[in-house]
Amino acid sequence: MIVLQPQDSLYVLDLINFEWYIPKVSGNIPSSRYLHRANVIGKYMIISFGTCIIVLLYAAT
Amino acid sequence: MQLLDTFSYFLLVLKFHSLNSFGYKQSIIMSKNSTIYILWWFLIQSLIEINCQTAPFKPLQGELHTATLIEDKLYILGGAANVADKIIGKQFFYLDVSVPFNTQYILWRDLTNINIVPSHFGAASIKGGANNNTLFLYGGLPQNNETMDLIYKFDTKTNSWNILKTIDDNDIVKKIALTGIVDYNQKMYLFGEFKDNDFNDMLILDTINLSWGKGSSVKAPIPRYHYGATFLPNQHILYLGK
Repeated sequence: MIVLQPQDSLYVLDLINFEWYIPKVSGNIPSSRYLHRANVIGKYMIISFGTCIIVLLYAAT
Repeated sequence: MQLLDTFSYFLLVLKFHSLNSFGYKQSIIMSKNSTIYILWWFLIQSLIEINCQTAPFKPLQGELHTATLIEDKLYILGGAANVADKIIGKQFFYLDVSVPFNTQYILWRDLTNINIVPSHFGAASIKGGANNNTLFLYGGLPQNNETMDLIYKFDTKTNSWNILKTIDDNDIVKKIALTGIVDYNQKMYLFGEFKDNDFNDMLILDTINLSWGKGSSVKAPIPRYHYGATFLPNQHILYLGK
């Protein structure tokens, strides 16, 4: 399992050519997580909750 | 609140005591004063009550919940608690996104007292229905050995939950850990499966006519759950991961 760093936890898929890229982001990047939900509201993407417990366990072992 | 109540009552008693120790001539002025004190007491009481009503709701955080945007409200329901030995319970709340907010201080609006859906996680939700303002919740795994119906719907106009029964219910598998997708015709698409087996079938619920259908399995992706999915403007659904 790969532990994601917050700075490369967000990917963009270009729907024109189906190519992935990592966007340049600013501000405080939330901790990496899974089993969250993402809702696009206007120009925002709202991430709610989720967990990172397995990531923490992995880091400890 | 109890402490403040007692405190203001104590102050009032104290004021009356001090009144009694003054002479007769001052009693008329004092009675005016006591009226003011009583008014103050009522004011304090009402302030305390208003304060209690707006106490911020702090939800228990979880994973595998559902978050559904309907008009200006993001409704959050269910999930497995991040904290061991705790359950989310009937927790149901929304965030009003029509007003700016700071992620450090989010004013959640609590609707837990009107929720009929048992504590669960891994359900799928969409916005649909004839007026396109109803939350449809499908599947999920209940906690505490509770029984959970196949579909629940929440009308955002009347703020009421109902169990949705259709004649095909017995033929429909109850899936968990999937993502609900809705198209422009308010049809809900439920792909994949995670329960006893992994499947790659597509269930379709028409949320206007309240009838079930099935999608083609020709060239369907391999079975999966915990995936991501999104409805594209060109009316295709993009499935990603897991």
